[in-house]
Amino acid sequence: MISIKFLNDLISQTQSRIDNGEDINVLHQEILGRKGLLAHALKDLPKLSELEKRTVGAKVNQIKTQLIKMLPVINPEHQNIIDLTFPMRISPHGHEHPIEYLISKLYQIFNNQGFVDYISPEIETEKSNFDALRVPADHPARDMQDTFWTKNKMVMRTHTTAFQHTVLTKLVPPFAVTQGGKIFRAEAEDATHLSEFHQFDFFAVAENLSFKDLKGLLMHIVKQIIGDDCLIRFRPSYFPFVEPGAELDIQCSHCQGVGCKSCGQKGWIEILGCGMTHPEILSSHGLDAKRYFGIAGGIGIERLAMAKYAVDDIREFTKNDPRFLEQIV
Amino acid sequence: MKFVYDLLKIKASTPKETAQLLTMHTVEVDRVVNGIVAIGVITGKIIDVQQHPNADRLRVVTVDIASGMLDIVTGAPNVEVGQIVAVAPIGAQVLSIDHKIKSPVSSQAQLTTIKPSVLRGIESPGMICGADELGLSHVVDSTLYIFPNDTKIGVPIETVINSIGMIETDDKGTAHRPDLLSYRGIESELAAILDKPFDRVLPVLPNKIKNDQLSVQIQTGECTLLIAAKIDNVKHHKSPPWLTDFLTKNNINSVNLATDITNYVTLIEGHPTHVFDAEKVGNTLIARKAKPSENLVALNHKTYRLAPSDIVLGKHSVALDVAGVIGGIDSKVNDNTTSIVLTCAVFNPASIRHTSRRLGVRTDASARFERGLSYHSAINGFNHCLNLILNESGGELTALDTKTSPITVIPKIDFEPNEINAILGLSLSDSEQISILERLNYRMSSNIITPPWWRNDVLVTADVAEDIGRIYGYDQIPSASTRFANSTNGTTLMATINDLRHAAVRDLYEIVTPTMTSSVFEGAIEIANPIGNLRFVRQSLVTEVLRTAEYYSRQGNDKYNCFEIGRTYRLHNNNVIEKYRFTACVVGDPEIAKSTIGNILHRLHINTSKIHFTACPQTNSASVKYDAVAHINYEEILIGHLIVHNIRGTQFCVFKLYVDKLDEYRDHHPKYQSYSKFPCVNRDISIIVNQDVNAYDLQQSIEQLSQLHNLLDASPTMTLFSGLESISNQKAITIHLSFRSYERTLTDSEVNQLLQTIDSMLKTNYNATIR
Repeated sequence: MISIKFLNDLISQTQSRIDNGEDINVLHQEILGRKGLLAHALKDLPKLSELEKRTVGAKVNQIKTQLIKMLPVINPEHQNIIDLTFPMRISPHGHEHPIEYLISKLYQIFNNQGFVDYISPEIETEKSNFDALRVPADHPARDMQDTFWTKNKMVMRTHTTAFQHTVLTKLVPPFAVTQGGKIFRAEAEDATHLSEFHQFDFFAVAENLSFKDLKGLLMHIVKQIIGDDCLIRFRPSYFPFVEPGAELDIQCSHCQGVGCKSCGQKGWIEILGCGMTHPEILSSHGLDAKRYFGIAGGIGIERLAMAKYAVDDIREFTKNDPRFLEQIV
Repeated sequence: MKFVYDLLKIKASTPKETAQLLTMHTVEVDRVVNGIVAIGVITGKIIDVQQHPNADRLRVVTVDIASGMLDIVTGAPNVEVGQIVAVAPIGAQVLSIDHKIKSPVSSQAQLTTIKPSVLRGIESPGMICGADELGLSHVVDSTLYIFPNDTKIGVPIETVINSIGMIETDDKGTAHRPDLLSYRGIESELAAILDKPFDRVLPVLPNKIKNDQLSVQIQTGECTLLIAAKIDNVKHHKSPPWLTDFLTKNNINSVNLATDITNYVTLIEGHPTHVFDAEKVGNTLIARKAKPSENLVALNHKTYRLAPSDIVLGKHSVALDVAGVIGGIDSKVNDNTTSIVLTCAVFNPASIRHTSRRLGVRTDASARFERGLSYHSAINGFNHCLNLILNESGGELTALDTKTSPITVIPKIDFEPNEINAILGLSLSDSEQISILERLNYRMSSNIITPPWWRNDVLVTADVAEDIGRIYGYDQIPSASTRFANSTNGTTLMATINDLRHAAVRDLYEIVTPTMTSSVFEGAIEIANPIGNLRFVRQSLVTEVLRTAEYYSRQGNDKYNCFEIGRTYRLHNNNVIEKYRFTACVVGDPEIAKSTIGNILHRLHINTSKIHFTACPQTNSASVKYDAVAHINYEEILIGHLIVHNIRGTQFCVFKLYVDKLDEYRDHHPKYQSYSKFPCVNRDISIIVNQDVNAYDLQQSIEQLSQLHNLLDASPTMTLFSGLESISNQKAITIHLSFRSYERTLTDSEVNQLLQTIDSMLKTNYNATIR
């Protein structure tokens, strides 16, 4: 029997092997050679009746012609023609996603400062996400973060800061840990809001840590990430889990501080909130708050990426469009 | 909250500068409006427009400014007879505009004085102003500022343009400080920053005026202070101009005198008060829990069904007001009211927030109450209101009653200058610290500090440290470079994830897909309050990775091969099980996908010769039927899956890998191994075997041949030609072999002998036909 399907498959398989960069001469031998696959497939041809030969033969010839065209025997003389003036082809493969790239870069930079990664879950208890961080139920601070709840009464973490409770339960000071990843807020999506986005938290507890250390650390980190010449603003802010609390803004790269759509006309983009860990958080986890001090902060990765790469719509990060990914990392 | 710049008693010289100080020392300002910056500009009506004889782009415009006529040369193209425009006569000051940049207003305001000038031979005694020259470019998007037709002419533009300097603070940053939602609160901050004197008198509870016409009762622990006063013989209901002017500037409509005063005091002092028609209140005003199924028609004409968790003010039988949230329409004061009851209270902030959210009503009152207003703030607000009502309404105070359960005292905090310095990393002297605290109206006696009565957010030394730090200036605090010490080591898992990313991005696009999904599965975690149909937490990345690859492949991207490393979830015995998964999609031939897998595993230092694929039958219950599925195994351990899915003629190969398994089986500390210095000999064997022969078995059998011991350079690879099955249930395989010895160069005959050994093994064990 002669299988036309086999012959058709032979064409597509040959094409993919050519695409894989296999040597044409070797392929020619293997497929069109005397003991090649085509010869093997056609070994029953002589047994066919004249009528069959006419119909099948026409098809076989057509396929054979096509294969010969795909696998030309390259004349060694012609192989020597080299033309280097052709335009280059850029391979589109292998680009990092800017969000994951920044998280990985932050891990690295914090790691150089002595921090280690501490993996904590994205689905958290209400205690970790809120109560242990001094955000009790019906506290206005919960308004900052519209929360997704699961039906089994867990919280889709609204900030990576949720890892502090676990860290304080499991580790003994001094420690310096980081955690980056997805966070969730029940918000309608627009050019500046997503319901799933990313944050990177750092948390260190030791004796003799002060606001000065926090500021020094962040100045270093931001300059490493954004560049030495970026303008930074460090201003007071409120988060229930820190006291004193601060936010760090960088100058908007779209408008150079004049005010535009991306920065809400402010000229500055807030990229992180931070502060000295509230003494109640340390003492409620059994630490002497007169002896130990904590520094903590959370970096909004999408915001950071928007500022760093001058992206004006946060939804770009969710599309995974190759034309976007190839531009950044 | 929005603050009208003109109404602030303490401020820097411009709205912008004031906003800058607040942002850097107290609370972030979201928006600043500079208001009219130009000085001496008046309105004028265009009577005539003539083309300038010597310039195509200029016109000579005759304007009536009431006191006379001016012939002004202008470059504005859209001037028309009858328009009322802003005219800057000689001596007026306007913003100088660099027309090339066209956006100077928000930065440094530079005023230029108008002088007589000659433009192409015609003298111009002034100019017609554009919005940007007035400082209003954020208000109107037109070069020429045109007033409505009925605007009075010859008057200063400030009197006809409703655009005033304004500062809007970010409410997120004031969740702990209700005092910042008031003019006095912001002024006290500005006073501290600018080091100007400022104080507010400590409020004292007014004396009771016993009268059986009005008493108060507290019947719920959620209310800790209730004050009410009855004012009879109210004569005036119309607010004086200063009051309506204040409210108008703050975008609040004037209602009637008593209501206007409560609104005014809410903005000025930051504590909401409420006025009732005394007739509706009766003799006793009660703060109590709402009864089940009690209803109230509120001031916004909506009917609210109350719950026992809500606090109400009213009588035993009737609720008149949803406490701290919204008043009732039935008891509101109107122009015929002669007796009013003024009331003020302190409620549990959590309760107010709960009610406000449950009813979906957010008001100026609820925003302040839910931040936790204090006893002193209530008394202060009440006293201010009462005085104003008595002064302006002509009424008389006939009854006043108060109830309070434990009187809140202002906290006393030990002054710990060393700890404050330790927190901030500063070395301020005691007197420097005290001086800053005094600017903030703290009081000191021996070593005890008392925060100002309007600051109930200050409770511990850390709070005091923040106050000192921010007034001193966060910008002034030095930076230290510290290396952080650890009692703990990182896990290898994070390192593996990181290495896996770097291995995969060499060939694939890295993507991020959503965690919340619409597809349900066994053990899915369900979101209680989903957005749209994204009701579940993903258990697998396959669906979204495949969808993304398919979408962009259809968009004409030749080879959109991608991967994601993400977390997946399911419920097991009511526990949330979280796993890291690597999932990738390669478009086209499965062999390409497999070589991608091989490359990634190889880069992770996983011994790829131990990896093999076994066909995996699909369960009938699977929601999606794939064309082929294989297990990816490390020795006998399952480490992932390979799926081939054909969508409209294109083959998509999806593979997922269990990151924890990769972490377990990789060599975390690869070491150098010496390698052969002798050449390699490559040979192929082409065979035809039965369809059911397993390629991995073939590979293993060859590797286990004792004659080949130490002579195979790498595991044999294979190329398969399918399709022969329709002939005779067979498949054609080419086995690629490479031989190399560690000790010598292999000879041709030696290699041929090895090939014969393999041939005969294949014939015997697998019934193979050698081609």
